Amino acid sequence: MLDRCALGDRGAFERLYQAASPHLMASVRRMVVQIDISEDVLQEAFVQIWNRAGEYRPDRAKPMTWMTSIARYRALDRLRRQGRDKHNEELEPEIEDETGTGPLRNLAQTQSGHALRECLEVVSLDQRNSITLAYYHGLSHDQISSYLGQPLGTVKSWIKRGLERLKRCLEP
Amino acid sequence: MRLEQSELQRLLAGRYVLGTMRGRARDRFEVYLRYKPSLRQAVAAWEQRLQPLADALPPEPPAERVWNALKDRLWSSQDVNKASQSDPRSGLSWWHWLAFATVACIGLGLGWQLKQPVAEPPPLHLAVLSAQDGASAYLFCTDHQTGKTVVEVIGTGTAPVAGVDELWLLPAGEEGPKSLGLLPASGRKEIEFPRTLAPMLTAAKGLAVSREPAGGSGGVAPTGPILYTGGMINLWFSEKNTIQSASASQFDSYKKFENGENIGNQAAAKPVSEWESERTRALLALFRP
Repeated sequence: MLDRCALGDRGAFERLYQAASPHLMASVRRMVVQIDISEDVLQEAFVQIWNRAGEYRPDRAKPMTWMTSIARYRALDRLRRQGRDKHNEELEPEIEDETGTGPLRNLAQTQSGHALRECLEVVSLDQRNSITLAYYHGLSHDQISSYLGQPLGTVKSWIKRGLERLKRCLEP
Repeated sequence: MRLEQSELQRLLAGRYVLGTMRGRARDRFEVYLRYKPSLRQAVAAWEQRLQPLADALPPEPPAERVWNALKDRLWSSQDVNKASQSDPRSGLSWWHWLAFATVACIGLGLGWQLKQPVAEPPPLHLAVLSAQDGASAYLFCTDHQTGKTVVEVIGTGTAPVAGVDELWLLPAGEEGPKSLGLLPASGRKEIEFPRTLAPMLTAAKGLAVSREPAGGSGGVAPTGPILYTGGMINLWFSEKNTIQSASASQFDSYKKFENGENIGNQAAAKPVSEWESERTRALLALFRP
């Protein structure tokens, strides 16, 4: 569909939008929180998807990965422009407790998700939560530190070590 | 920052994708992304690794109004081209860099073969023009094969004053700045630059961008505030298209310009801060074989 969009096929773009927007919205809204701003960011993302569809390379990324990245980076840009800080109070965090609720639970349903789920089990709960707070909510090191009530250096090293372990674990 | 180390590259790429890399570091990283295929690969790998997290979220269909607004934004104008130019200064993802990099005036690190090396080709000139807060605004580079000089809008500029941006070359010595013309608000612009002027570029202290009233300064000297500056980086290539040597402009003389010597209205000029030279050093480090 992306290659059709690259040719200016508006019908293909609409189908792409219908298929992908609920997923991109889910990512964006967790980061941006406010619904109107999320909608605006989603629009920006799709403007970019439309304009850059010709640059999509199937051998480099899956379509959803390409589009999700665009949407997440646009959301991060927006957070930066807003200089947001009130976010923490409104946060409904996607972090895990012992009951293991939340989206991480759904991870196991796909093959790649299953692998990531298993690897997330390998990293400590703190590392896992720091990573998901950043990925899902766009929190900075500082914000994660104040959210979890842990020193900045501790959070940084959780993320560093968490990423290292995840990478090792996911390696084929 | 020793980006050459692949371990460090992977960590930085992870932080970039995760989003914990912020502010200037993120801007800088996006500049590096443009020149380092290995870094782009590291980013793509992290995007793929973490994608299942996004896939696991329950879908949230956006309201109908979003699609309607999007359609209007893309296609309401008679001028279809307008859509492709919309939002030119918003933050640019690495896909943007990737795409540009394939057509960019510099084939550095991308393994482009220069088929017919000239006997004594001038170096390739490169400058990243940034605001004092570190936000990159323009990339200036020449292609030593075609001799073309291109300026590209690469980031969200800070825009405290209305008007148009004018590019200035700061020649070596006591000579005053030379106007290289007005810059576009988006996209890229090719600058007509006689090859005979290449030595002047090579020796230049750097480049600056002033914000001028519509129509520009008139070309004699900047009349508005200096918003972006960048030192000149020269890269000499060997026949095998590897970098033979590099030099960067002297920032002391550059500061002189910033401090208001040689040019007209300097009310809003800002001194060059240390990060600028750090950035240049880091960029140079990337180009070393």
